[in-house]
Amino acid sequence: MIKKRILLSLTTLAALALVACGNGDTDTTDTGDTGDTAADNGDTDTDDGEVLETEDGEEFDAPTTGGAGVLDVWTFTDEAQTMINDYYLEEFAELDYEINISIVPTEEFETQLDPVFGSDSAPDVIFAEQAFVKKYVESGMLVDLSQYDSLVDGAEDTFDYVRDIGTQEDGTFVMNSWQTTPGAFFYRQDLASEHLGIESPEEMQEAIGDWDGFLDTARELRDATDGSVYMVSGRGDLSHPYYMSRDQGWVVDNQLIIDDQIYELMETARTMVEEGLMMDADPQGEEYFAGMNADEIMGYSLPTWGMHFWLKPNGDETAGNWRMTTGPTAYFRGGTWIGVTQTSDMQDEAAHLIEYLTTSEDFLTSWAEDTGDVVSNEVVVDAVRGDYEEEFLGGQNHYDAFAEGITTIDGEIITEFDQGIQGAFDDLALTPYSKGEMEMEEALDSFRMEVQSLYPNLQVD
Amino acid sequence: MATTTTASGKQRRLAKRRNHDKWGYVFMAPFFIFFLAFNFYPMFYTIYLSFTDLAGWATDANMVGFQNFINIWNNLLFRRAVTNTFILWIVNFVPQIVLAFLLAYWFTSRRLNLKGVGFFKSLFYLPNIITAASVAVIFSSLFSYPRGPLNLFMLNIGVIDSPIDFFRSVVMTRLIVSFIQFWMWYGQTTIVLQAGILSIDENLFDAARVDGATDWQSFTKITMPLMKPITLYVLITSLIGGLQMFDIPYLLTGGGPQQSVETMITFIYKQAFQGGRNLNVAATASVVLLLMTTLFSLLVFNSFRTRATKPRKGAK
Repeated sequence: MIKKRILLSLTTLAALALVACGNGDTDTTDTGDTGDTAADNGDTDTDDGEVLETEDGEEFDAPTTGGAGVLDVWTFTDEAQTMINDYYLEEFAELDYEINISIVPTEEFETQLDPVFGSDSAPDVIFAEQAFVKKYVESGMLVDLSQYDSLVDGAEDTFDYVRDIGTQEDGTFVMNSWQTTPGAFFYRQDLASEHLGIESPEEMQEAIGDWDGFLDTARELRDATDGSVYMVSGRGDLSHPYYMSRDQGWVVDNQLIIDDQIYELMETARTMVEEGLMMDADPQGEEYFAGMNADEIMGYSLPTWGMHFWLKPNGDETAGNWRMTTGPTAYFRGGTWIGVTQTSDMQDEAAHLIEYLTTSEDFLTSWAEDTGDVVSNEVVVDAVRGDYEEEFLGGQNHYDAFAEGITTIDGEIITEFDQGIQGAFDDLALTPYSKGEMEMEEALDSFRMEVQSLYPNLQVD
Repeated sequence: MATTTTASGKQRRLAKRRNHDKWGYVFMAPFFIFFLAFNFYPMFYTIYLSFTDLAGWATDANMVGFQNFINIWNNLLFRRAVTNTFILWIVNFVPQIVLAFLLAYWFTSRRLNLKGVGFFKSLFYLPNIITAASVAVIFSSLFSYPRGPLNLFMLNIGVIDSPIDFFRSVVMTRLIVSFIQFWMWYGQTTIVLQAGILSIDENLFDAARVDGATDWQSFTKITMPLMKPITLYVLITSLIGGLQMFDIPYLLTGGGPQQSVETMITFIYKQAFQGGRNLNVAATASVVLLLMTTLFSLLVFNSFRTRATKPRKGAK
């Protein structure tokens, strides 16, 4: 870590070497606290650990490793804490070692983990989410889980795509997950009845079952409301379904692939902006969330966790009016995988934890019942899917609807480059093209340039 | 007997004094230890890295000669980052130095004898106290689209018909970034320049006044020339700071739209911590930045030197 940090401070040195004091135009570092998040600090553990800050000024405890005899778990989701403390440690109260859980905010997770990954200071167990899971899977520095027979047996019932993503290109199975994260199109039933005469999720699915139908419905909605209600919030509601309907991932054989679906995504997004069919709000921006409580947006494309963490908290005034349906294409978004580092001195204990969290039917059943999370075990999902009624969705069985989409998911198209490439694509190609600022080839060229810069070893054209 | 004790006593005192001298090194040590560990070593380690292929998960670095430097020369994004950095710096520095000079002149002018100078000095300095993260948040919500306060205000008073998406426009984003830099630093520059003006001997102005010089004449003929060293200082520190511009562009838009506010340091940061984590490229860019900083500082320094008829001491 220190070494990498130092790279940044090098330039500061250049300044110091020349002039003894610094007025300077900028600081290269900021130690800012925006103030509005300061209140969060009250409930954090203040051991004697270092306190760090994210870009937005949110403070968090630096992740720790407890040394020999302590199983170190680094994660970015507090679900991990609940699963381990309230389930794993309840079940196995007699463990002769401690479990030390460090929660690092997602946006800082990689910068904290990468410098120590592969060294002795690495934790024993790491969590990784879809955006960067492949980076760790393909790193070759995770333990082969297939040596643990009971884990492999248990993973038999894990959905294929979940296992595929946790498997290296050469077939080594290194990470597994407790959840699946199929996505759906969430829409406002009250608005649909009023403006489109659509009375049920089935009718809605019929109308928006493919992208042409989706656009036509959006136009109908615009005409019926004089443009005061938009079909979706913005490109964020289009990109994830389109990404998952590609034939190939972003990179195949070290070559950047721009799939036909990517071109179609760009065209659809542009059409929707030009014709005033979507609000064109930035994904996860202020207007995006505000739309969940207002009557301006018909629907959002969201995965399982999106409903719990984004839609419910921001749609408290519209609760009960929402329904869900598959939408133009089945897709998934996000998800968290767990693996063991090769540098761990407690690999068996770590594997035991992973086996319990990702394959124990008892655990997964109670987890599904307690939280409504769609779990990764097919048998468990089939057993529990009939028993749900979500009040937020006016009594609709969301579990059943989500489960419907899982089997069509293809995990093969997830690559270790996705995070960097998708970020660049959204910034440099999709956004400017959809807003009509650039033409297709110009936009794709600057996208290729950025990808080449981020990954010099890829062939981009 | 008595003489010997005095002599040995003297020796003891001398010996003690020599011991005291050694403490000097002890007190200096922390600086040198920190300097060696956090400045000296990293600089040479970075230079070393710029000749290797260290990237991604690799832990062993292989020497690759000047390949990284050739690559960075051909890297269009890096070239764009260099251009952007200079554009952003110049657009912020020119108005900054002009306004700072004007304010410094007003604040020190005995003829104007302004009231509440102290109050305004603090007021103009305030933006510098706010951390960059907060400033970025404030400006991104001020200029946000489509319902940011500025858009709503302009719509209400009828200046525009439809909201402007500021952060989608190359020119607007650059202007906003430059404006923030300007706004954050002109107070600081004003104070430095004012200190420079106050250090000029009053007698010179009095003499000029006796000789019938106007305010403008004494400003251009006395203040300006004597301010050269301090202006040089402001220019060089600002240049170095400007070349290292990072926080505002990165926090505001992350370099976009269309890589228009991608600066050298945001490029280095992204290379080192995102994508393929190309430490070698980041190190090479850092070395190039170091060379550029050195070169430009020397250029500025020399151009001031040759034109100054009598280099003044002390004002530095």
